[in-house]
Amino acid sequence: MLWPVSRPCHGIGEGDLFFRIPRSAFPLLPPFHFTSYAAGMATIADNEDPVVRSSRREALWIFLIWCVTLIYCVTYCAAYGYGRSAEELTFVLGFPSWVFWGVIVPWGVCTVLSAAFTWFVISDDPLGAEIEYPDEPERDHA
Amino acid sequence: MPDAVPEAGWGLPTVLVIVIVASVYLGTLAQRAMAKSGFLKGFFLGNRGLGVWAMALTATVQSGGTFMGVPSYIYTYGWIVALWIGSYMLVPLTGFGILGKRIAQLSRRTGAVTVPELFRRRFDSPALGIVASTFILIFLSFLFIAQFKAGAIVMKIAIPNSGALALAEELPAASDVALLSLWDSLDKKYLFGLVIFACTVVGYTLIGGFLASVWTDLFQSVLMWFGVLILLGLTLYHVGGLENATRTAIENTGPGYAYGPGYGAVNPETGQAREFLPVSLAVSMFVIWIFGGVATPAGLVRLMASKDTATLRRSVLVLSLYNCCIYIPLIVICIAARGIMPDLDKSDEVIPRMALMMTQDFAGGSLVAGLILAAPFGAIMATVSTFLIVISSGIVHDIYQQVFHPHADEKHLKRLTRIVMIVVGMIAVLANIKPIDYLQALIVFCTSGAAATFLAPALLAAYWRRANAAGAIAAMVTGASVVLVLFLVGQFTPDPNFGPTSMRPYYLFGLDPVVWGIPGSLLAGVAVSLFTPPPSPELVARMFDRLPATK
Repeated sequence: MLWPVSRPCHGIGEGDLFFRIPRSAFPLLPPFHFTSYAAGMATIADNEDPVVRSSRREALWIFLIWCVTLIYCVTYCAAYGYGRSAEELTFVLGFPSWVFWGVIVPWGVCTVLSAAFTWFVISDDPLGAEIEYPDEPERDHA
Repeated sequence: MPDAVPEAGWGLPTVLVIVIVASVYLGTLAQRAMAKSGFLKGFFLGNRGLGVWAMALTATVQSGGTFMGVPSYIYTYGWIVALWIGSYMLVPLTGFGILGKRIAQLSRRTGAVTVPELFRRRFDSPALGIVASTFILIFLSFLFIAQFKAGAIVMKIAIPNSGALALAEELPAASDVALLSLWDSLDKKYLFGLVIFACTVVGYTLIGGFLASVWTDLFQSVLMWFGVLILLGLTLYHVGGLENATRTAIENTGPGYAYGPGYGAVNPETGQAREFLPVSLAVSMFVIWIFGGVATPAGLVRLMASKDTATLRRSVLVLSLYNCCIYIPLIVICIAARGIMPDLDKSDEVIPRMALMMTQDFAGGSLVAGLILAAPFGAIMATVSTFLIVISSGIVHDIYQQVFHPHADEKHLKRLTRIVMIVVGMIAVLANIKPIDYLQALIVFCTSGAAATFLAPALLAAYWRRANAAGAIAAMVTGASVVLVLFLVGQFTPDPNFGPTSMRPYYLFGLDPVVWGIPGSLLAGVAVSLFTPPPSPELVARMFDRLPATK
């Protein structure tokens, strides 16, 4: 093992990184401790708190959504909105058409998507009670 | 129709007085609300009780300066600014979704009141706490001081017959003025505005702490919403549709106004037009607005204060709808403004001038104009009071209490907090009597620096079990250094003829420093963590695993 772990963890397979995929679907993956630590986030301890798991999964989904939005918006605008002449200008609902399809429509889609995401994907979990800590500075001087 | 633009009249001062009175009133309400909890958690964190509206609508404006800069860009460069600001479509989801639940949970598990405390206890490292406090204090102090000037100028506009409208008025540099004639050279109305502004903000923040800051922020967000939508309606009516407005604006400028990379003035030396937003910078803005906003110190504090996960979830929805109603209308208004008033000398004036022009014809128009003009003032006040909370909590809780006086009692801390807030406010006023030239440069750097410094450490803290204190420190230092180095290099390299003209960084492969800073910081954090001993399993379990049910 590359570095010690406190309990067995299973890397991609057992956990719910994006969704549950059986480990057997990845016969060629490196051993679990490598995938879990080297991938940087996929450590799935049996006892891990549900908030940690759900928010890690949601964060990854959101990151993917961001990637898709970035690629679409910038590509579309770069293709249709850069360096054209005034004669080519067409309008949709008063917006130049490249702005309408490249920014306004995705804006609407993202708003609906955000709503759907908060409604159907993000889970509610108890955050836990406040934990009082002992006086730290004392311990620090010790 | 370049008529003489009407004066602000009495509408604006009336609305501003209402805003100020309402803010102080909210401050006293907040004081009563927090009286039932302990001082530190109540004053600096609102006792972790933020509900949906407070969470969502206080995350709207990253700083008053940003809000004022956007209209000026749209007016100057045209439709391309829609792409520049476009990534705001995802800001609500990323801002609350990527780190929200975990930061809220970690702050409870660590009992942390401030961001440095959260990092310190998450990694069990006092050194990390000091590093985080230092960065936060440096970045926020400059941003804080800068906001005062903008606030003072809005106050000055409000004084009837001052004739001023510009928000970014140039003041002479301190070095130009001999000390003897200093008083004569001072702008008395500006000074008056500065003092009123400082007393208001420091006053209500002092009274009500974090909750006062959040509630006044909420109040101004609602004001701004009404202001922008009313102005949108008036503008569309006046120009007879958006398409007309665009065509007139193009006649007044050129075809570049409707396309990327934006309408730019032609440089007489090179014969080339300045590009506002080449594609590489468009990509950069998608990174900056999203990931710069996820983990700002002030944003993290709000996440720590949220009531529960349902609050975070619903906040995404509320803020998404709010942003639709603010940014898209703002773009439309400022494009139309270029058609109506093609030759503004100071493009910063575009919103105040539109507000006055659109409302001059009907009764009570002055009050509506006041409402619209009060919006940036409210945004600036909200930003200043948020920063004031973070700065004073950093000084009192993370530095004084940690390093000098661990056993200070509540009464002592309370008094010290008040003293710190007043002193910090006075420093900001003094620094703004004669703003120094390079202050603006520091501000640009601090905004980028703060964006690149805290994202990676926060991600590591939230999601990676193997991350350790050394990694988090490395991530912070690397993020800040990469941005700093690129800004320094930019001062000595030729102008690439795109992007802003003042304080330009070096655009490595055409990308903004933040785009290099964030991955650099993440890489350093991961690498240093892997090359140093893993954190103790007991600490990791306490931060990541299910806790025993009874406690």
